[in-house]
Amino acid sequence: MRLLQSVLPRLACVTTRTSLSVPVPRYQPKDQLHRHAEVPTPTLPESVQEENNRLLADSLKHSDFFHVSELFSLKDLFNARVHFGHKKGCRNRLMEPYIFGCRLEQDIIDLDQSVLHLQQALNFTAHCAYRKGIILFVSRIRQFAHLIEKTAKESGEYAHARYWQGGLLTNAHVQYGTGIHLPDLIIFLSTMNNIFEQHVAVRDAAKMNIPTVGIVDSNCNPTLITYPIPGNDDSPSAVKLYCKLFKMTILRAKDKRRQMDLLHGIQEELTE
Amino acid sequence: MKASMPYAFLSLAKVRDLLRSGVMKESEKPCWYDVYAAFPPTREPVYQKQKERFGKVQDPVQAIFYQEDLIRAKFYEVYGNGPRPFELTQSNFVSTCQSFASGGSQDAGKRDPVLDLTLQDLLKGLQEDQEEQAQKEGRLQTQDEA
Repeated sequence: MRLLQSVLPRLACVTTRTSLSVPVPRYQPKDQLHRHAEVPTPTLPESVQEENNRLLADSLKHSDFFHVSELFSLKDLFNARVHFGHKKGCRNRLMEPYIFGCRLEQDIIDLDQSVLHLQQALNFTAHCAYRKGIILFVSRIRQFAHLIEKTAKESGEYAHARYWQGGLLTNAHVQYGTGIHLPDLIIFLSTMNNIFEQHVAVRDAAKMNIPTVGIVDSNCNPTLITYPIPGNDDSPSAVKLYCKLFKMTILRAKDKRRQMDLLHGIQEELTE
Repeated sequence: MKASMPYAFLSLAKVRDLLRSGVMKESEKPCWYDVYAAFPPTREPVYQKQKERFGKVQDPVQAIFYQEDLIRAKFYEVYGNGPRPFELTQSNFVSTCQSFASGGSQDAGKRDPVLDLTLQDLLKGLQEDQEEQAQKEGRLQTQDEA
């Protein structure tokens, strides 16, 4: 809504916060068929706004506010086969800094770098979830479509693991009506589509000022992704690990937010 | 050419300028703005196209080889695929070749002493080759010093 107004300032959007409806008309899970627009949130009084801002600013002071680095270790990544890349001939030259070496023509991804990048990405995701941002999981690997949708549902966010219509982000106001709220973060479990080209959503998200977190394999172009995570996107064990980690970070961040809100609610009652 | 200029679609500077100029109001500030400012990525997401590698440019990614690979190569040359198949279901499985490479087992000798002798000879030959090379390098170095 806010982003849409910034991108298309002439559009007189009503400031209602409608949740992102299921994007693809071909597939609609039963529980989302009768989704209604949410009631517009009333503007908060100024003191509460200031409290809110202070809360959010405090969370940024710690380097690892949500302790995401405790969620995984390098050994976990190794066991989940995250270090396996594609063959030498498939390699994207822009991935060369992230590749450790080539063992009998198979690229091995540098897990030391993967750990750092994964920590950064999970930290960013957690902070976005803490600020009640809308997160969209995107992937075009048919093998993991169900797993990703399940992960998104369990973490209370959204997923799009089906065919991506061209104007989903860039033409949203025409396709879904005015007042649409685009996602605040897009997580790619694989940045490639089914014909081994970069997923359209990577470029569209960058156009619409939406930050992206993405797993980049050795045949992917990592330059447009805001927080790339070099790693394997084809093995089931690796994708299961990623889904688990993202779900845990998002739930942790949301729980923390709820805790903080309750705490400050109690504090306000005491002061009153 | 306009296409070759590096352009960052998503950048903090663009959003910051929009906010400062007043095009984007404070209430419309994206929720990721402060987080991105506090925890920027290692590399700014500027789009780059993959460049083809022409001519004699060397592959910057190094090939991974170990010292044991020499022994493994000799083993497969002599024995072919090895007496027993690889049990991939067990994560702690050690193949015959691996036991040779990590120091030599005594079981192989009982099975086929003739072949085992040839392998031992080959390994000795390998070691001798390596020693000769080391000696040559030693002589060259002394020559250089002299």
